[in-house]
Amino acid sequence: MATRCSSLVLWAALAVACTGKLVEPTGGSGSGPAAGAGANGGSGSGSGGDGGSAGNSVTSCTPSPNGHVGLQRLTSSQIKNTLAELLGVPVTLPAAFPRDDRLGNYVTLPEAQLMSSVFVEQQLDLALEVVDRAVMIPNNPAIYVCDVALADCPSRILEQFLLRAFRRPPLAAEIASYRAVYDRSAGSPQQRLADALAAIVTSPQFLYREIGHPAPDDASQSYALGDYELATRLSYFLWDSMPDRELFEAAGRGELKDPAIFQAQAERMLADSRASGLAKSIADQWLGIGALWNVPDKTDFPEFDDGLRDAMYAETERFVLHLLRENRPLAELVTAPSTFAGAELAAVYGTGAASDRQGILGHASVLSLTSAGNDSSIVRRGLWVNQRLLCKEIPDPPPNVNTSLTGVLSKTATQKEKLDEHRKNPDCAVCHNMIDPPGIGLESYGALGQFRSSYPAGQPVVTSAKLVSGESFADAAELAQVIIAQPGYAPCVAQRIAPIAVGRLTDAADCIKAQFAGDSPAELGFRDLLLRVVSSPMFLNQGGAQ
Amino acid sequence: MSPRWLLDRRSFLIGAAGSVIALPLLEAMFPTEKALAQGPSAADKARFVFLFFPNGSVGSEMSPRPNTPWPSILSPLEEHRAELLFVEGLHNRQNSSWKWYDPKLGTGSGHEVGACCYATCARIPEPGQTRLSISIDQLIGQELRTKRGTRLASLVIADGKNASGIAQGGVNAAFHSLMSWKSDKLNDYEAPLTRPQLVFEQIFAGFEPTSVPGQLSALQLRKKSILDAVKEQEAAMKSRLGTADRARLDQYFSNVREVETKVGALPPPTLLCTKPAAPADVTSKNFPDFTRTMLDLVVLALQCQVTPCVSYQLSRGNGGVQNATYVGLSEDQHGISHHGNNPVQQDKLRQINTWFNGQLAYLIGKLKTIDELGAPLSKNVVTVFGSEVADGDKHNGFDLPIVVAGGQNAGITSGGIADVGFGKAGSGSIETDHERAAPLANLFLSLAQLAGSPATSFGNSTGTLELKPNV
Repeated sequence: MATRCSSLVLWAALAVACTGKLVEPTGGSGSGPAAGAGANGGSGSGSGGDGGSAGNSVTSCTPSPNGHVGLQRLTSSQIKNTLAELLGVPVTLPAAFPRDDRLGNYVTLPEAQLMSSVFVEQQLDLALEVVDRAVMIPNNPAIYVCDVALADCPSRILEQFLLRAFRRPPLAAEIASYRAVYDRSAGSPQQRLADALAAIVTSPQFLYREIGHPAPDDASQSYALGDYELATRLSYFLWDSMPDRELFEAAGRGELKDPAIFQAQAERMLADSRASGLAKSIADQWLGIGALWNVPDKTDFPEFDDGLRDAMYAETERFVLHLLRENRPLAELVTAPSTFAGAELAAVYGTGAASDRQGILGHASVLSLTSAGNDSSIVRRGLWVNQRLLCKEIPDPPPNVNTSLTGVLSKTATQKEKLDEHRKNPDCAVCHNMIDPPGIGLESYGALGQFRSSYPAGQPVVTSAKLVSGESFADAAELAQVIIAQPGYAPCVAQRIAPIAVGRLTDAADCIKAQFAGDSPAELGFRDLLLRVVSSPMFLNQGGAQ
Repeated sequence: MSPRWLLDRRSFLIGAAGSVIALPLLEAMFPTEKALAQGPSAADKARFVFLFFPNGSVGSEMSPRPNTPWPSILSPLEEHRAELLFVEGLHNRQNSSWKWYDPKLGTGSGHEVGACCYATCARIPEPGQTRLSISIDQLIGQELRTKRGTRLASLVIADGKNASGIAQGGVNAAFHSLMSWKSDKLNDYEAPLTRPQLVFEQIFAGFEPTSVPGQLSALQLRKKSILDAVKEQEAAMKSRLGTADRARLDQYFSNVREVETKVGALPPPTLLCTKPAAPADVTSKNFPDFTRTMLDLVVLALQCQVTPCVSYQLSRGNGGVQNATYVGLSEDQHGISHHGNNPVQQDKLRQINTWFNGQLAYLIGKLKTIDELGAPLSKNVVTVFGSEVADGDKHNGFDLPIVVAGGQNAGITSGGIADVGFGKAGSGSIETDHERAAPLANLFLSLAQLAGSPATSFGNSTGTLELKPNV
């Protein structure tokens, strides 16, 4: 037999997860508050979903007890952006700087953030390299608030720098501690200052985002974030960087707990060029295009190079930024008829590109990411649509399964024909009836996203299929319409974005999802969704049920 | 032109035979280095390399049988037969509580319990936690670092294909990618170095032509001053945090102290190794050159005695991570490993196994050519080559493919088969045979004791093994 799907025990587990008849909560109201809040069930390949159709009509919710977010470390891009803003110099991370670890594809979760001596070494080396440049810029406004040669100036410099570096007013002991570095260092005032600044940006108060809590070991207690904590959470969400002076000043005046001022700040920040930070976060952590770095292989993709890959990233990030900035409806993520393809991508897409493309479903980034070897992958693309856009929970194939399609039918059979055969096995069909159809709808795009109407061997491409819930579609354009008509689509957008905002995974039971259950994807705009997310209890509070 | 960095022989110090300095003079000039290199006993020279290859093999083809032809997938190793001890009948039956754990098949959900639980012989805790127990390279390495004063306890390397984001069924991706665990504390692992340049820097930190022997450089002193200030922040910040966050901060400061130790350590003894030019930044996309470069660096680290142990995950388990382009195949190696008893797929897996065996052969060959004050380096280095599963298709953890190479001066008798479990003479039924198999942990415990460790247990060990042929 060419396909062996599973043992009996596994079959039962899969059947539950893929049909949605029963939902196994992955951290919902049944589980108690824990230090590793929301850490369970994290998976780039399928947790946090609602298990088929169940949950699509959630309009009320039980607050998740896992409202406590642990100490978040700045991610690598946040370190890069923050050092640049803080020190007023361009920053490039060295190639050896550790890549962020992920849980559920998110880099923002404390549980995902592993620590290593390599990280400490690299951070120390980076700190020295950046501050050594920054202090040598005469009158660098990011540092020099006074003439460093004057006796009382170094402490004043350190005090103002510490407020921005630690994102709160520094303690007297902290100022003294770094002043001591300055005092024991040798060389010019600039060199001595460089040592003190390097120590500051290697310190945990810089690298970790601390949220004060009156009873830090009682996660059930809810606590409203303070002004500086709100400013920090907002700026790392919207900019992937530290607050700017205006936001710090508003925090210093104690204004951010005023909802109107807080909203106005959020709107200002979304209009700022730094909002590209959020677009990148969404493209990477929600849509998953960050994984593109290791997918296309030159052996399989002779036309693929770093330039084309960068163009793929750029297209998706610009598209997402456009949706956020212009408050475009959620639906346009998959239905937008236009895109931002440059000349390089246009060459891949070929002529007639515009009419062949439906939003993100036509992006070379997503289509390459979800290909395998030198061909598209119906399974990977189907998984991507189900998990990323509809928050469906689909388990990985069990350990004993043969996931290779080799040996099924003849060598010349198309991938769709092989999968059609494969689904005749009920053990396989239980999940693949849900996984495959959206992938079939995207078969008109090759491994790099190029449009095609026939396969290299000559067979015509077939793109018509039917979702397991019954909706039929003829091609990618109709698939896009079917996707946005799913009741789970708008809540899924919120569920996928929320972990970037608050640093914990959100699951089926989370109220953030229920808040958007009644929204029409054709009407609700992305900016409006973001403004509602930052005004939600889970964003404004630490601990307790949210 | 490929960006190779394949060290030539000149980059390695030629030992007594090729040295222009006569040994007695050397001894007088550098008593410490002489002691390091020769040591009062064999155990004091022993170093250990744990080499991991992913996704298992075809059936039990990774082991030769007496009086039968040498298996084809072992062909690259045939010239080194005298160096090899095939340890057969070991199981890796983690006491996993994870949902897919199958007590009969002996594995958890597959590759998540791969590298991490291979090296620790521990079980994965509940989902969402990254906590195990000490791995074998750290157990031996921490002990020997204290005794020998080496800068590192274990040099930890992996290929550059980060498993992040492929977490399966809620198991943290960390377990795929992390082989070296320092203790049973939360997140207490050693992250692998995935670029040759980083490994090179680890070996030669502080090794500068301008540095004064026995003295720290200005840069080292500067870093120490900065790290002192960082350490001053610990108490005040911790006092404000809850238990879980304090544990996170502990992790940060334990690594700060680790870096402080490294920053304050003196460079490797110049007599034992020479510093070649830094390697090109070859990435694992060019997998053959990447692997070759890393193996060259492993040899250099052993020769320079900067670490008693090396843990190197040649490639990570599970799928979609590394396409087998190094043997001319565009499919991913994990997909191939699920051969489903399809002969075409099995042949592909044999090609992959043969390639990985070739890497072991390269390492052994290199260690044999290097003279360490009268003995080939291979005799002082115990290399354990193994995978997390036995048959790649079945994911079973019984009769693991395990080869111990070299280490004759450290107490290994090589050149044959040590059948420590049911071997090939068993009934052929996993359900009954596994009762008689020995845990992999017994092999590791035996090695730890050879290294002089006082440990009496490791992971799920039940005893020790005699590391000599018995078939």
